[in-house]
Amino acid sequence: MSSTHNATADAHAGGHDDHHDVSYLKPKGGMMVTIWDWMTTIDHKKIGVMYLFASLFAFFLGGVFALLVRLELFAPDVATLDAAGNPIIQGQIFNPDLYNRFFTLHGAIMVFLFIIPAIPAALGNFCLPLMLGAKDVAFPKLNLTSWYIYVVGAIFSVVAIALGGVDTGWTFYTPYSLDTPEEHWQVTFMTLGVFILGFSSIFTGMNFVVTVHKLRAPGLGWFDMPLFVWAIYATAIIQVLATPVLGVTVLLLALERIFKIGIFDPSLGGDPVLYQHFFWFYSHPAVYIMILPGMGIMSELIGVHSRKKVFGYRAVAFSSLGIAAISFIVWGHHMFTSQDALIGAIFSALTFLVAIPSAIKVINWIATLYKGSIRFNTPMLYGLAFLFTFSIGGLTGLFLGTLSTDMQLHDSYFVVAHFHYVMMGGAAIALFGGIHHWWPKMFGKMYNEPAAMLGCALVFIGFNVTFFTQFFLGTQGMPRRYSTYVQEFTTLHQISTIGSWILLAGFLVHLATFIHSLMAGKQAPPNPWGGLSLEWETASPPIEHNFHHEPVVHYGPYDFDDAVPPFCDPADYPLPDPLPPGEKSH
Amino acid sequence: MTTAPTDMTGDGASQTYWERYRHQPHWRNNDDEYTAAKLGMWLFLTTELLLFSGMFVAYTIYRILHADEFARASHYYLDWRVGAVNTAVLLISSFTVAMAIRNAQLNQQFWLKINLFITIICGLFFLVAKLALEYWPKYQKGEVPGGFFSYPGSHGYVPSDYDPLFLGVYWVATAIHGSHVLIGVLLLGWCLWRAQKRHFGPRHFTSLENVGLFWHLVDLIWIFLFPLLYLVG
Amino acid sequence: MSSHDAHGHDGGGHHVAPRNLLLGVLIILLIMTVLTVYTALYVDVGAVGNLIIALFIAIFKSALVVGFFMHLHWDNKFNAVALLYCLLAIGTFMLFTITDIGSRSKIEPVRNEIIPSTQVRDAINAWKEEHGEEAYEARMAVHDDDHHGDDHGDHEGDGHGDDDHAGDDHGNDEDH
Repeated sequence: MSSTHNATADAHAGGHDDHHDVSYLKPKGGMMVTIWDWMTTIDHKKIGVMYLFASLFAFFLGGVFALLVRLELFAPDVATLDAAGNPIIQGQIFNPDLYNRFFTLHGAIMVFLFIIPAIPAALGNFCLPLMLGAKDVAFPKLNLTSWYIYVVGAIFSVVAIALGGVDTGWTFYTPYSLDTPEEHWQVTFMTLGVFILGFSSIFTGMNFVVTVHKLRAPGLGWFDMPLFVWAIYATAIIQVLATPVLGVTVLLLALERIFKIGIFDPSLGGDPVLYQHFFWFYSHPAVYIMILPGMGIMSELIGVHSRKKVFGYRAVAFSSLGIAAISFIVWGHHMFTSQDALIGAIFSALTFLVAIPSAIKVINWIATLYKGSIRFNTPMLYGLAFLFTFSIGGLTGLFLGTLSTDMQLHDSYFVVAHFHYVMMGGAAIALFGGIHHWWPKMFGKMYNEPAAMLGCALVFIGFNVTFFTQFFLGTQGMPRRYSTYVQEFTTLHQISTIGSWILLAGFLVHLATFIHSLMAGKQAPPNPWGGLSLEWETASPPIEHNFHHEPVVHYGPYDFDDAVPPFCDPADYPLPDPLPPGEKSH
Repeated sequence: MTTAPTDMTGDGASQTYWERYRHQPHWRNNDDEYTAAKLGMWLFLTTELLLFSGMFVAYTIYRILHADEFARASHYYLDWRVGAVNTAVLLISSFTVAMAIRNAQLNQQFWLKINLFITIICGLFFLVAKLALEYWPKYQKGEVPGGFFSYPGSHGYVPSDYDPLFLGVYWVATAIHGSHVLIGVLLLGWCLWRAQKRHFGPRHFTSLENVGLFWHLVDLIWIFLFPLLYLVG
Repeated sequence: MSSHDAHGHDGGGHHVAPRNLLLGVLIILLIMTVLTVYTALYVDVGAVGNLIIALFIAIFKSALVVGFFMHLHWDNKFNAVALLYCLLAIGTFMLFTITDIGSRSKIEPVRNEIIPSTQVRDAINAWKEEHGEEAYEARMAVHDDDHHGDDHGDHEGDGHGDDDHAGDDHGNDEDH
């Protein structure tokens, strides 16, 4: 059947005088008025865009620290004695204390300021209400509040950096994190910053759960929602249920440092491994806060850009919830070497369960690609890159989830490589795919496709060069978090460092593409990719209130066989075959 | 008033706030907004429970590891009578806030204010009792957590090695709870102020209901903290 | 969520909890509080037994609060689902953590060794240095009217209260 356009289908970008119809990006007045308008906005789109720029800035900052870490590791520190008997250290660019601060700040910024807010709070905020056909999220003021909480948390982290930086690792393990003298406030500031950022995450999650429950457009049933919404919903559940435990953990750590309450301090009768339980009860689910939205983006990229119904929609949707549920019972695999062996074995067995929903997703994406009309552009390239890197990241996770092999690989570069393949190769690559996918919708401008594809290729190559070598380093025994190494590892470390430069080049290309697009990009059509989910039914960029009229849903988000996408020429989107009703197309 | 909640009937000027209340523009009707706010509040309450769960886990672990020391410390440092009175006070305040919501639903404006007022008084009583009968004397005697513990014992009571730990759990758990009581009292004060301006009535009492839910949570936590801290062993 | 026609007594279409029910719940809650205290002080079924009784009463009390004061009994069922899932998460958190800490010693005893804190001894020594050894002996003297604090059983509120406080303020003369 041909598409039945809903009431908003006649909306076109621009050309309307009614002020409700203007783009949400249109300035409200002079510079100060516009800035004030953005600062006090409760529009989910503006908040999403602010989150996007803030988290990309955090990505830049964390990336700088990563490059410095890789730079230090370019050569091992070799100490020799000069003629007078004084030691000369060669190959050392930063002293080890500085190095400790670099990797800690890299980890803390990337995790708490970039990956966790990037997809849900930036793209989720922007897309979720649009995809549901809603005017806004359920609690717009709370949304603005959580943005400001994020800003305050970020300020705390910046203060911690300004006070000299933190060298505890992003996990703040006790008792080391208690050992930094208490007159040095940076660890306290960093933990309080994380506490505050946690609230931002909780409020965003609450907001999204309620939005999905209460603000779906008429006709948009649970199984008519785009898979990105399912993923964000599952993520939001984890955010709500796990983040408070991080809150109490870092709060206790801060109290421990200020008031010496002794709960995690072995010298006062406390148990430092209890801290690890507390921390990972949040932080393992947090890993899925990072990857689940990325998986949601993947479903959109693969579905829309191969113009095919996502294979096994319900399986993919439920696997998101499955991952969310399983994420709460696997945290102990971070402590195989410090906890009881019995519970270690239980956690090891439970950890394998995660592989099932993850594999369901990957296999269904590949099945979606099969015989699809694949459009070869940047989002699709990122989708394919994700399939490759996430598979490696996921499978190497099984090595680490196995109790016996983990005893060998624990705290080695194998772990570093694994979680970079999942966080960077999974979440960050999906994020960049998603940014390219929704860029025309967000800003109403197209980007330069060849340049973006070049950037994507550089990122993919640079990423693999950087991190694949680290699997070898890890299996050969290179421990993580060391500023130097034995000389045998030099070649591999140098390859890895060079990879980080390629990665940098890729992101610089992206940066240039984005700036060029904003300054001189072509005007984007409302539906450049021929998507069927509701965000493509409004103008690019969307109007202030998202839709002229509340949309009514007539087709599923991936029913490419049944509907001509809104704003698209039916000639460009021939429906497969006009079969008589009752017969199913193959 | 006999119309559907979505409709804005009559001229707004002659109606009180709750009669002319209209949902925010992104909602379809008042009822959706109300149920959504309530769902949001319940989700927030689950996060609060999880926040406290950290304290309960820490308590349970150390109670298992140091059962005798904890029992001794609980008997010595804490007076169950203070805890019991505070429990009763919180239970009564929970009842009055539930009654306040009922009053709002039935448009009993006078009793709404009375009940809110009693609730606030109960909350303040709890805080004052806590500070005057527990925190301040303990602080003066050095019965404080961990590294600042300086209580030498008395009347044949020699502190065990884990007394600082017990006090650590006690202080932190009750302090987090107490801060929630304080926030709850402030929120109830805000509700009372709004009730004074006739903001709550049968058609609109969302904030009151949600503040009430928060206040019940404070009560719930205390229902568990009381036997675990004051009546050990 | 249809629109109800409200006429003053249906709370705008939302369920109104009956007053007598709320009052009854309050009375049960207060009785339960008394029962908690009574069982803890006068019923001795072992430390674990008493803990279980206290927790059961607490769970019963909180169920009443959640069900009636918080209207969950009449509420949208998803709110109850959210609460149950949260309790499940807390249960998991507690169960696995306790299993780890509780069984560490069985497999590798060294892992369960806890370095005792010196904080308490430091506190006692500091007091002795300030007030003298004899003052400490006097302070620790047990009197007939005092309950002995170092065993745990059926006594209540012992060694607590203002006399301790006075002891600190007036040095060692409290008991003379």
